[in-house]
Amino acid sequence: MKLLNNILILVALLVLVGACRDKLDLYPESSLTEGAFYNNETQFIQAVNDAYRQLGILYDAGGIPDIFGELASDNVYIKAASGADTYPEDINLHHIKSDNGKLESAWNKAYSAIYVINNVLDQLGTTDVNFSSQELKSRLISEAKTIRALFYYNLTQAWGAVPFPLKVVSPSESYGYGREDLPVIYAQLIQDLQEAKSNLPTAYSGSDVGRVTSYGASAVLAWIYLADGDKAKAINELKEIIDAGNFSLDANNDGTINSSDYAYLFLATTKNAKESILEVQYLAGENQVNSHHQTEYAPWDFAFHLPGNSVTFRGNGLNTPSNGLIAEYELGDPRKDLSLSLGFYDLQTNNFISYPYTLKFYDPNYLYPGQNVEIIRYADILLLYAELTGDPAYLNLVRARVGLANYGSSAYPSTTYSNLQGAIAHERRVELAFEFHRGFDLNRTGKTTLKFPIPQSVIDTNPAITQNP
Amino acid sequence: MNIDKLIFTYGWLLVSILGVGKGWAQNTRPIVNSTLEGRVIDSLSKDPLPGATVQIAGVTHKVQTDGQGLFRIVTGQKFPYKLVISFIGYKTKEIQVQKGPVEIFLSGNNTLEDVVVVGYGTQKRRAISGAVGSLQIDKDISARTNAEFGQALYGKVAGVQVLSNSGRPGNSSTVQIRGINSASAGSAPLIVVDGIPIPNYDLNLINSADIESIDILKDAASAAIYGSRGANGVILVTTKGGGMGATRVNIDYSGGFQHVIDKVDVMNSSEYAQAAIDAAQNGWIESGGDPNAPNTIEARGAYKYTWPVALEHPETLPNTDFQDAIFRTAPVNKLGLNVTGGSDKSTFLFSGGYQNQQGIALTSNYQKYNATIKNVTKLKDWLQIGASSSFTYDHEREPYSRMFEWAVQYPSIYPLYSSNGYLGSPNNQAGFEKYNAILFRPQNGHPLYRINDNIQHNRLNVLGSAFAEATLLPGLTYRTALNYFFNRKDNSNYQAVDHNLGSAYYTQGVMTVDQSRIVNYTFQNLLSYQKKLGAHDLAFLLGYEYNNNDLYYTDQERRGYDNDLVQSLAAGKTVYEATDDKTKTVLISYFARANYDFKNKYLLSASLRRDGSSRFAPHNKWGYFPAVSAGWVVSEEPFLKAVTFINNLKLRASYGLTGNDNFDDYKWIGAIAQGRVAFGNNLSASYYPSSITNRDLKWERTKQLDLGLDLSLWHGRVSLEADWYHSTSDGLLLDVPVPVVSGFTTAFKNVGKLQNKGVELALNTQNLVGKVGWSSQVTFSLNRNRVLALGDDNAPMILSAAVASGMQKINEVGQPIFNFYGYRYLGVYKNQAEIDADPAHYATAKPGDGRYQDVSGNGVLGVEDRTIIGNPAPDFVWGFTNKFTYGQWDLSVLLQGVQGGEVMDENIHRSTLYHEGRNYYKEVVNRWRSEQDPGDGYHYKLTVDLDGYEKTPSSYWLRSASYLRVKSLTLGYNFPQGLMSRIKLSSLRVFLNGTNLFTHKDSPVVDPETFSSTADNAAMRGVSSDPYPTAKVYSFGIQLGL
Repeated sequence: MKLLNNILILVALLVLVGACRDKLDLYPESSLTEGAFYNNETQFIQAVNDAYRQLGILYDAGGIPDIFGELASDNVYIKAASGADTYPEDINLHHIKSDNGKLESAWNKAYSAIYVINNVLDQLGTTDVNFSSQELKSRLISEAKTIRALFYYNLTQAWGAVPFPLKVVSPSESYGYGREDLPVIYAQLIQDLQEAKSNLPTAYSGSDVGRVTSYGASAVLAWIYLADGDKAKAINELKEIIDAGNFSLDANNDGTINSSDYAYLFLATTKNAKESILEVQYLAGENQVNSHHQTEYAPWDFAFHLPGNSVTFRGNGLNTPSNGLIAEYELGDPRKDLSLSLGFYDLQTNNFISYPYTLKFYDPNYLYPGQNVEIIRYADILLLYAELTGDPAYLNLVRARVGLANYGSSAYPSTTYSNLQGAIAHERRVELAFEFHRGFDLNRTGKTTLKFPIPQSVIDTNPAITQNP
Repeated sequence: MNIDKLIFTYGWLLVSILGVGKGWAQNTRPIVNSTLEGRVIDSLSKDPLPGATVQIAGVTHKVQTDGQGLFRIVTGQKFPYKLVISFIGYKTKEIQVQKGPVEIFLSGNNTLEDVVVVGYGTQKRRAISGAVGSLQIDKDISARTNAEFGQALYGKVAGVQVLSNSGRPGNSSTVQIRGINSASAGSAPLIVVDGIPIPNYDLNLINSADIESIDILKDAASAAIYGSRGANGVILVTTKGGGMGATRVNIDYSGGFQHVIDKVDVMNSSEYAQAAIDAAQNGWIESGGDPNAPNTIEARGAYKYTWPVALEHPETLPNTDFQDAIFRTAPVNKLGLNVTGGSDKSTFLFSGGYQNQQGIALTSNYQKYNATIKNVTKLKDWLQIGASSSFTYDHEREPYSRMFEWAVQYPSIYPLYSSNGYLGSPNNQAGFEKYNAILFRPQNGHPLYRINDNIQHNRLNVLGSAFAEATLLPGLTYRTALNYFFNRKDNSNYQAVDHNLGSAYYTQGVMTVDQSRIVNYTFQNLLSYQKKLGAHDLAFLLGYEYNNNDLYYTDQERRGYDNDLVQSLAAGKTVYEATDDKTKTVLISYFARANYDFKNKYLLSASLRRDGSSRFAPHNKWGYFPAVSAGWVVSEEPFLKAVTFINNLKLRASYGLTGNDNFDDYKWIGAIAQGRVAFGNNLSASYYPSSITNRDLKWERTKQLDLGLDLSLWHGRVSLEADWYHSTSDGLLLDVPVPVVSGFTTAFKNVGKLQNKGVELALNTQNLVGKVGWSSQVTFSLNRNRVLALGDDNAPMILSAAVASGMQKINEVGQPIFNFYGYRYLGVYKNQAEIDADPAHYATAKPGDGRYQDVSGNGVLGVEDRTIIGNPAPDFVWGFTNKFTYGQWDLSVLLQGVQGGEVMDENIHRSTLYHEGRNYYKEVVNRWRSEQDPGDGYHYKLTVDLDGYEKTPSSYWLRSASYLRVKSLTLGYNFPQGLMSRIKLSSLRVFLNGTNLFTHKDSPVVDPETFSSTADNAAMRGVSSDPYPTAKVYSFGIQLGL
């Protein structure tokens, strides 16, 4: 009897044993997984929103525009060596080794972003979801493609021919992506941007302000035409933007154009001003969308503090304004004091520390700054237009705003800047200092021919990728 | 000479001496219904034997000896009567007792009858055909005051290497068995506590005083019964249980002092002053400056090319040893209580422990409390039930982790505190104000900069089980058990506002608090059958296990603290973060094993396990893990029987397959993560794919062949265990670097093949027996590791410098895994002629700069010249224990060491070159200073402008990891029995112990065995980033039996 009981218990247990096999099918409870998303319009909008988050990463400190546009340019230098490596110094002094971690990081961030953008484009291309309007769907595709084009613009300027995926690529497929020829890349980007330009609205309202407009796509298209050597088409695009009349040097929209407009552009609170054509959106405050330029560009000194603030705030000390840049400002140019400070006082010793830094990223909320960054603003378009057409009128519009004498007038420092091209280069350097243009301008105008080495890890992982000479 | 006879003679001699000397002979009155006391002792080592069974012949009543080998038996028997003393691993002895107390010597059975714990059961050592290492918790180990479990394994078990992650009180070691079998899934062995398998169990949660034995399943065949979790070997921990007989109380106390094991030799202030001047002057000259230009900012343009005038008068500078400033001599106290008792129906154990330890570093301290209860009751002849619960609660205050790094790197020219009362730093030292960042940063660089931070850890751990075991038929038993553990961690980290750094120096206060909760239970059913049919011994095991693990984690962070007065979340003005995570893991297993033993001569064993895991995609959840092993006891063969000095010779062979699933849950499935975007002043959500799906993710598998030999000579005077093994692991779970065009820089997948082969030797000898006893143990382990395949095209896998703190690593077919990778340093270019003579010199090379090898021979130094420059794995590890006994005295010394391998300490690339003006290693005194003063030819010059390969990974950063250490030394005295009975104690032992007393090492690191906090991560092996150093401990202890 006892034995029988025992055997019955055993059988019961064995039944129990067989019953729990489906317990192995477990899925995450505190995060979303593949397959559970891209199921309605709102989710697609949120997925395209991530392209903007990626754009924020691209234009943040340590991204390609920052490194190629400023760090590698003559605008800046590094005053004190810091950190466990010499990556920033090597970039600044142009003796860059291929294992430069700063470049590796910028490259990796760019391709991670392109993956995210390609993914949403793939999803939009294959989805069955009904959108409330076809316009919305094509707008979303166009936003994503314009942002992707900006990534490729930056990659090609800094490295030349680069891998060029336009869809999600699996790790095993990714070895097949070598460096694509520049004309192929440009042709594709031009097609994408033309399509985007026609599908995007000219402006947004409400909480959509800040998204890419047709003018934004047009401006990026102008850059691509220029990179591709098609000056005439670039001029057309710029002309369309200027002629549209949607943008103005009256950044603060007070009806007058003066240096306070220039000051207004760099206020921490300024968002998508009248002058803005394409702008990266950040937001100050904890748990918002913070940018890191101010920290990156502030002096690497423990006694440093922002104007009007007594709390010390050590920056990373990259991109200290060079003597050359400081000297470039004409006497009486209000942009000098709006763009940089020559140093600060050590509040403990009351010594003045001569350590210049830019004020263009000034945000009193230094722990959680969120000042927007202009990718393309109207002054840039005007100067570029002047450069391409040789018409000084557009240059003078920019100079007039800050009360400087017209090019061609007697008060113009023509001994220093004797021809129009020189005058425009000078104007762009001071007008757009610390706005990630200098390195691109120097390369475009042939003053430098800098190309970064392909990050060594990229070649180590895929030896099919060749190094730049 | 006949050993037994010797033992017999010495044994009785000793008893007589003791007996006469202590006057026991006076007690001749016949006793009725009285107590017999005595002690059971190993005849060779003279160690008391705890756990031996003492029984009066013909009576069922029996007792077991306690920790000191003592027993007390209450009986109605009249002297004389016969005692039967039995103990596993020893020959059973019967003696006629005339009077008490008695001293009984048992002679060992060459440990062959030792019961060894194996997976889901026990086996006699004699019958084992796999490779199982056993550790006796001896007097030396129990004398180490802060010996955590892993520490006990140092040098004691062949094939086992112990690595320390940190010397923080309460921190556990990492144990590695037979090399790295897994590249990125965890390489830690499975821990099984009293039959409960617990992956990643923190060894420190087990009260070391509660441990009865540790058995280590080293070969795959032995570990295969643990299937998918056995690839890194298995550590079986058996804790003490209750005992029959009179209630025993043991009280252990030990206390002592700890001090930092070593310091790093750095420059004193006058050496540093000269180094700082050299760095500035060299930078100035190389920038084209006039060497004789005045030392002024006006003349030289940048402060980095100048120096404070005080540096030219180093005798006026303070000379501070910042390592002395953060370390202290710290007390540690430990108290343990153990009560056991019971009857033949029911036994119980209660144990309690308390440890209070101040850390050797400022602010560090630790308390631990343990309580364990156990009960086993026989309900019926055929049924017994039992339950146990073990509680551990501990609390640690942790010092800020970078304090150790800063103590090495902060220049000795600053005082600890400046005269203004703030921390000694450039901004508080007159004349140094302009040298912020040039003569090391004043903020977050002073070792006391974060001294006001408050980092606390609290843990509660409960481990327990309830079981029922029924004997269904003779030989057939069924056991069902519910095992559980519960772990709760509460951590908090307050980052202070005030740093004592100056009137203007404050930072934002931040407080982070997190909690995690693990509820893990295992439902276990085992059916076992044993049958003896003549010369055939058969054993079968069938088992089923259901394991469920739930983890919940949450953390909160507030910021915006006005001051440091209230260090709680509530005082922070803004909520920065509040998040959580939840995971669940289920493992379902079926397993079977059969053992066959013919005439104690031929041994066969086979097992199979089938595991199903929730960690894999639907079609990959199940895996099979088979194993076979065989043994041949040659000494049982007639032709060897005649050779009397060979007591045991056994040849073993085993082959098995084990797996590894030690990685995060849900890893196979791609995740969609949430981000934040702004449009104007509006915040919106964004979603993006943050990982990719890999449906093919499957077990990492290790196949291992083990050949072993056990030899015992001259009745155990010499015994040897030797093993050779060869394993291949395939389907390695690896974060494989992939082109970032895929969106990711690495993909987690099964790739490649890895080989480990090695030799293990354990030699035990009884060199002297008798009044003066001396025994030795040598362990030796050698492992060679080689990558056999990698990915589809076997392309080398170069790991980014970010993986190993700035040092690159490489996996390449034909080479050991995770080699260091970089440029090969060749010493200093002593002059321009040497540079000119080297066609591959780099463009910026100047006399005094480092020279690197043009490995490719293409005449240009470039990335193609990166090569394998070292390997973190040792050539071999060894341990050497010697035990001496003399009368009541015993002395034990453990030497242990590691030979070969390289280590990269983070200080090396911060303190051998100019790096923000940090202090330098003392050895940099011998640097190149000029062609006339070229130094040792190895250390290159210092300069503030680095433009060569100084900050590029090279062999300049690697140092030898070899060391030799006096790990432990114990001197003990056991008070004589006679004295004990007069003061009504059953035993009393006092001892002195020194741990980590002396280390000989080749590298300027604090402790060459302490790697970064992620020693479990094989990729980080050999990389050390200044963890909390290990302590040297001097302690005193007393063990008291009531």
